[in-house]
Amino acid sequence: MLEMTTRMLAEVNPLEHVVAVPLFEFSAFGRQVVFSNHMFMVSVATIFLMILLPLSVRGGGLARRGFGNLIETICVFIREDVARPFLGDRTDKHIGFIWTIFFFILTLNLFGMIPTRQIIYLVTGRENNLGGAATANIWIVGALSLMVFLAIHICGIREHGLRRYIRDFVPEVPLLMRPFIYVMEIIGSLVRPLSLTIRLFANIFAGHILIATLFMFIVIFRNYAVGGLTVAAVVAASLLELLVAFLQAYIFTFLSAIFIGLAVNPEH
Amino acid sequence: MTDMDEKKRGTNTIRSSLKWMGAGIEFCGVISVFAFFGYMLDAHFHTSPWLLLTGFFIGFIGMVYLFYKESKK
Repeated sequence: MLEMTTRMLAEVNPLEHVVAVPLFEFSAFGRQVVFSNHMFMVSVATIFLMILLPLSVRGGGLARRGFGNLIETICVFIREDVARPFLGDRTDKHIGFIWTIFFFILTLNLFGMIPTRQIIYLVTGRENNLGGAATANIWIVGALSLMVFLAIHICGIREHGLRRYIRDFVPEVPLLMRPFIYVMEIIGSLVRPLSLTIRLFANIFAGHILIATLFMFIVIFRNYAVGGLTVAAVVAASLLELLVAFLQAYIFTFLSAIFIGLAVNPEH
Repeated sequence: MTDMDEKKRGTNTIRSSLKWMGAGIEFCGVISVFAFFGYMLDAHFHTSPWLLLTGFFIGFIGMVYLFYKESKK
C-alpha cells in the first residue's frame, strides 16, 4: 500500500490540476502583477457573459424561444424564489447583483469542467496552461465573497442611511452590552462571507482533486480493466461535478440573497 | 383560513427559518476568532491556557445570547 502511494505521488500530482499557474507578468502602478490561468478563466468568463447574456435576451416578443427562454427561466426563478422571499418589494432594486453573482459563478464552475488545456494540446500539439477551475482558487472565491460583503453593507446603508443602519446593526440589548454585541456582530458579518468562500472553494477543489486522482489509476496500473473502471468512475464523478457546479452557484446566490435581505429588511 | 393565507404563512415560516442557514458556521467562526485572540494574548502574557479559554467562553456565551435575541425578533 505504501509503495503504491509513493508511486502515485511520484508519478502524478493531482494538485497540479487545480493550482494557479502563472502565464505572464506585467507591471501596473509600479507593481509586478502575475497573470495566472485562473485570472485568464475569469477574463474569459466575463467576456463570454458580457456577449452571451445580452445576445440571448435581445429582441423577442412576450415569450422567448431557445436559449433566451432558458436564461429568462433561470432569471425568473432566482428573482421570484430566491431573492423575493428575503428582499420583498426591494427585489428589483438589488436583483441585478444577485443575477450577476449566479451567472458568473455558474460560468466559472462550468468552464472549470472543460478540459481546455488538453483540447488545445490535441489540436495544436503544444503544452499550455490555458484553463482550470477558477472557483477552485480560494483567492478568486474570496474576492467574490468580498463583493458580496460590500454589497450587503452598501445595500443596507443605501436603504436605511448610515445612522439607522449602524443603529439597527445589533438587536435591542441593554446599553452596557451594546459595545460587546457590536464586536460580535462585526466578527459575525466577516465570518458570513468567509463561510461562502470556504463552501464554494472546498466543493469545487475537492471535485477536481477527486477526478484527477481517479485518472491517476490509469497511469499507475496501465491496463484495460482498470482503465475502463476509471473512465466509468470519472464519468460518474463528472456528472456529480456538473450537479455541484449548479448547486454551489445556487447556494452562493441563495445565501447572498439572505444576507442582503437581512441588511435591507433588518426586521426579518 | 383560505388556501392563500395558509400558503403565505408557510412561505413566511420558511423565510424566517432559512435565515438561520449560515448560523452554524457563523457561531463557530465567531467563537474561533475570540479563542484565537485569547491564544495570541496567552502567547504574549505567558498565561496559557486561561485567556484562550476565556476567549472561547466569551464568544460562546455572546453568540448564544445574540442568537436568543435574534430569535425573539
